[in-house]
Amino acid sequence: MKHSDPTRPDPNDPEAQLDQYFKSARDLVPEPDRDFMQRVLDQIPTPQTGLNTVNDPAQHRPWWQQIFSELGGWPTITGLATAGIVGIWIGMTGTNIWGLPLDQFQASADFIDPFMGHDLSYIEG
Amino acid sequence: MMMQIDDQDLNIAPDDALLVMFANGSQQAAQILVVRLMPRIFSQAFHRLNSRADAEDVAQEAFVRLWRIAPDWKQDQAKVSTWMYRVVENLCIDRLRHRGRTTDMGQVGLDPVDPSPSVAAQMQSRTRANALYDALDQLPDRQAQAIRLRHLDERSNTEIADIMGLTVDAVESLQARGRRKLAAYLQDHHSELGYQDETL
Repeated sequence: MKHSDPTRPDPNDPEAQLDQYFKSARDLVPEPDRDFMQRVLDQIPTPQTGLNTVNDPAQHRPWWQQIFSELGGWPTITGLATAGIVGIWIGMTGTNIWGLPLDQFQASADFIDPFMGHDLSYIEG
Repeated sequence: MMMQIDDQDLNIAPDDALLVMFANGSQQAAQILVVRLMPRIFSQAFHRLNSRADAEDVAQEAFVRLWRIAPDWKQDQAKVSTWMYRVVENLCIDRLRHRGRTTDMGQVGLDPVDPSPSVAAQMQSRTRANALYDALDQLPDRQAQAIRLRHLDERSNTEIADIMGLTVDAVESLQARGRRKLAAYLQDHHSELGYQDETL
């Protein structure tokens, strides 16, 4: 059947019908109303207050948080805690923390004569 | 000599330049941005949410975020309109998720429309729009996004390619496939979905 009404999309042409659907959806979008526009315009922050707040969040932090971040934050705190624990452990267990027979090295070192090479020169005069 | 910027310069300044001017203290630059970007942003949000109140909330929040990012804006990073598109899209997705958890979807889209056209014409347009929104929800995400951007938000394919991170050819391909599926879906489902559209 021939499509007779030029104001309506041809029912045999799905592309034309689809365009009609898009047009309907676009036409239904209302204009943003004046009150709403005014609200959004009123919300524009003044550069001195609004932007500073964004730029410098440290301004509103409590003193202990500022000290914490100036020290370097969690990495610094965990590093200090680890160093402290190791220090206490070394203090309690002694310096030979790996259990190596360091005494033997000490004893052997006692027998080494640092002037051994000079003996011959004494004998030969 | 200090350069003077008059109103006319501001009106033709690109979006990113206005944003930088705002970050440097110009309220007027921000006002021009609102007037310039709002119609498109509001329309985008309305097409996603099908509700004036929700679209207003999303558009308002998007501008709040734009003001926050302004001091850190880098002029070479992205277009302001592209950045805003993404923010609005994400805000809409959040809102739709929340809506899905808390409200009946059947109650959405009942905002009164412009009273000037005849009631029958309004009903017809509303029916078509709702059918289209339903059909778009059936498409794969990328196809639906490419179709919305082109046919509802009326953006150029170059701009869409930029937003979606694709080539123009890829965008056109997504749109062609999406349109075919949409047409078929609307043709097949109009009676079962209860659309009373004379053109189908």
